[in-house]
Amino acid sequence: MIERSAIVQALTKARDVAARGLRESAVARRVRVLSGEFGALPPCVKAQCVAIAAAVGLVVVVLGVSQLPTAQRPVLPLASGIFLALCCIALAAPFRE
Amino acid sequence: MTRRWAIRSAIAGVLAGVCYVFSPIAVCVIAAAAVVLPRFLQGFPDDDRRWLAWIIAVAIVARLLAIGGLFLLNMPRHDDQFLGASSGDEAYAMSRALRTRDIRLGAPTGKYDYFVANDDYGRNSYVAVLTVLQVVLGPTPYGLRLLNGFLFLSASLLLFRVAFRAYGATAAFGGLAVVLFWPTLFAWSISLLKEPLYFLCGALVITGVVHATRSRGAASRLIGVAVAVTATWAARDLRPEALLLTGAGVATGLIAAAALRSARTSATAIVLVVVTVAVAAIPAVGRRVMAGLVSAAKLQAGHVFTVGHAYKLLDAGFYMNPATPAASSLTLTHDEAARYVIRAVASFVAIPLPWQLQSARELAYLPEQLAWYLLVGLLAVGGAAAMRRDRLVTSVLVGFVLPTAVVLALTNGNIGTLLRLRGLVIPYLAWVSAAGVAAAAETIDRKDRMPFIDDRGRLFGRVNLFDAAVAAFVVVLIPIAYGTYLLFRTTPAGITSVADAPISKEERRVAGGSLLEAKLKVRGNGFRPMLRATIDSTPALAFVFEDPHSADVLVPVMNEGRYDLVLYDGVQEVARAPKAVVIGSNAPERVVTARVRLTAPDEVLALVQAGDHDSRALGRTVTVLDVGRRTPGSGGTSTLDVTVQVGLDRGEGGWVYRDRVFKAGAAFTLATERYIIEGIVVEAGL
Repeated sequence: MIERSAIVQALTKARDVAARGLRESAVARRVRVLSGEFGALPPCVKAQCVAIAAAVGLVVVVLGVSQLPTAQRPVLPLASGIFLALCCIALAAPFRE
Repeated sequence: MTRRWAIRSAIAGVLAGVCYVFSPIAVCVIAAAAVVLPRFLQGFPDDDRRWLAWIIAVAIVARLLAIGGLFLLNMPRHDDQFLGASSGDEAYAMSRALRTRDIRLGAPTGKYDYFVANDDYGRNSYVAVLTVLQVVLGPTPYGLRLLNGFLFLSASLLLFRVAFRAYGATAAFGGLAVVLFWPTLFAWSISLLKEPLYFLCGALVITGVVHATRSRGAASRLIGVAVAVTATWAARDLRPEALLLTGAGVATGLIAAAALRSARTSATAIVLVVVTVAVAAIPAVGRRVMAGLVSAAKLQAGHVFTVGHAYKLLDAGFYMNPATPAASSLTLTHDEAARYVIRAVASFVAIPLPWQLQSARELAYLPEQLAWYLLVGLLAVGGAAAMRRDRLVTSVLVGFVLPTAVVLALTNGNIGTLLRLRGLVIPYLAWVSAAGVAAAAETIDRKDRMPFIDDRGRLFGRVNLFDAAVAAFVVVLIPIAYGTYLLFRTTPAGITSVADAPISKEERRVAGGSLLEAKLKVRGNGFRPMLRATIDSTPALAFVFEDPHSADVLVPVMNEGRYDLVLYDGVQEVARAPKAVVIGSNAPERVVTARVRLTAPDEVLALVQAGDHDSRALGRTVTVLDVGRRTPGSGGTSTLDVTVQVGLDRGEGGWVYRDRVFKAGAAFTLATERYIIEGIVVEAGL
C-alpha cells in the first residue's frame, strides 16, 4: 500500500534522481576515481600519504591559528595535537579495508 | 610513493588545516561522524540500508543548511563578544564557558566573571564539557551546534535500531522521520542546549536496558548494564532530579513489562495498584502526598509568574499575588489538589489549544501542535499494537518518559517551556505511535475492519490512504484549527481611553484607608477580574473590574507628572497606555489663616509650638503660626487657641480639609509626630 502512495513515490523518485545526479557529477566521479586509486595503493604508501597530509595540515593549523585574534585563538599545542590525531583518523577511516 | 600522491596528500592536508583553523570542532565532529555513523548502517537489508543512508544524509544536510543560515543571519553581529546564542539558556551556558576560558587563558576579567564561572546555579556536566571545548578549541558558537546535531543523530539512530528489531521497518522509519524532522526537535538538535546530550544519555540507557534484558550471555548482559549505568551517571546533573527520573523511568518500564506478561500478572498488578491507592488514603501517607503536591503547586505558581505566555493549573485565586516558590504560603484542600492534578495531566496533552495561541510565533507552532495531538492519538492504537510486537521495548519506551511527563505536567506553567520540555518525551513516544500507523496499515486488506479501503490501499477506490491522511491534515485539520483560533482566542487586553472620575465613598472604602490620589475610568478590551494595574512602577491601590471593556483604577498619592498606565496578568504585561495618567499639582486650591481651639491636658498642650506641621497632611500646608494663651477647663483639660495656616480643597459642602468641611464650629484635628490633639475651628478665615 505504502509503495503506491503518491508521496512515497515522489520521495523515492527524488531519492533516485539525487542519487543519479550524485553518481554522475564530475566531482563525485573524480572523488570515486581518487578513492579507488588510493585504495589500490600499498599500505605503506597509504600511511605515507596520511603522514604528509597530517604534517602539512599541522603547519597550516599553526600558521593559521597564529593569525587569529587572541580572543578567537584555540590553545595551540593541545589543539594541534588533537588535530594531528583526528586528521589521521579522518583521512584513514573512509579508506580502511 | 609517486610525486603525484605526495602533492595530493599535501593538498588534502592544506584543506583539512584550513577547515580546522576556521572551525576546529567541526573537523572533530566530521572525523567522529566518519567513524560512528557507518556503524549504524550495518546489519540491515540492502533496501532498508539505502533508505536509512538517505534519511541520515537529508537530516545532516538540513542541519548544515540551518546552521549556515544562522551564520549568515548573524554576520553583522560577529565580534569578540559574540556568543552565537538564540535563547537565554544558550547565552548563559556559552557566556559561562567563555568567562571560564578568559580566566584560564589570563584574559582581562572582572569579579563577576569569577562569580559566574564558579556559581552553583547552572552547574552541570554539559557546562563542564562546553567549558573544556571553549578553552581548548576557542569560541565555537557554530561548531558546537554541529556537535549537538551529531549527538542527537546518534541518539535517534540508537533508538531506530531498537525500534527496527522490535516493530519492523515501517514503524522504525516512521519514528525516525518524526524524531529527525519534528520542528521543535530539529531546532533542539542544533541548539547550544544540553538537551541533545540528555537525549543521547536516555537513548543509551534504553539501548543498554533492552540489550541487558535480551542478551543471553552474562558478558553481553554486563555490557548492557554498564552502558545504562554509565549513561545514567552522565545524565545525573543535566536535569533536576535526573537520576531519580531515569531510575524511576527504567523501573516503571521493567515493572510494566513484567506486569503485562500474562493475564495473571496483569491482574496482580491491578491489585497492587488498588492497594497502593488504599495506602495513599491512610492519613499519614496522604499528608505526605499532599505535601508533595503543594510543593509542586508552588513551583507551578512560580513558573506562571515568569516572563512569557503562562497557563494556570490551580484555581484562579492562587495566582492573585505573585510569589516565589520559597516565599509562597500556598496550601491546598483535597478538592483543590485533585483539580490541580487533573488539569496538569490534561494540560500536558492539550496545551496550547489552538485558540490559546497569542503571537504570530505561537501561531506558527499550530501545525506542530496538531501533529502532537495526532501522535498522542496514535499512541493509544500504537501502544496496543506495539505491545503485541514487543512488550519489553514498548514498556521501556513509554515507562521511561512517564515520570518525566508527570513532573513536567505538575510543575510547568509556561507554554514556551512546555513546548520545549515536551521534546523530552516525543523522541521516545514517536516509535510507539509509528507502530500504531504500521498496525493500521496492516489491517487495510481486512475488508471487515476497513470497508472503505480497497485491496490496493485506496480510500473509496480513489485516493491512496496515506496521501488522503496527509491531505486531510494539511487541507482540513490545520484550517479548522486556525478557524477555532480566530473564533475562540482570548481577546488581547488593550486600553483605548483613560479618564479621571470623581472619587466616591465606595472607592475610599475599597482603598482601605490608604490615601487616594485619583480614580481612573479605564476603557478598552479584554479586561479580566484578575488583572493588576500599575502607574509606571507604582502599584495601583486597586483594579476594579466592571466588565471586559471597563474598569476603575484607584491611584495612590503620587508626585506631579505624567505616567504610563500598565495592566499585568501575573507578571506578564498585557496592556499599556503611555503617559495616560496625569497627576496634577498637589497644592491646595486655597490657603487660609484660621484660628482653632485645641482641647487637651496641659502637658500635651505645652508641646504645641509655632512652626509645627501636621504630619498627615501630605501636600497640604497645615502650619502652626502662633500659639495663644492656655485656658484651664474642667476634668484636668485646658484649651489653647492656635493660629494655623491651612490648605483647603473644594469638596461636597464647601471647602474641606482632609475630607471634613472647614468652617467655624467644625471639628479639627492637629497631628504632628509628637502629638495628636482634637479641637474645633473658631474662625475659618474664609
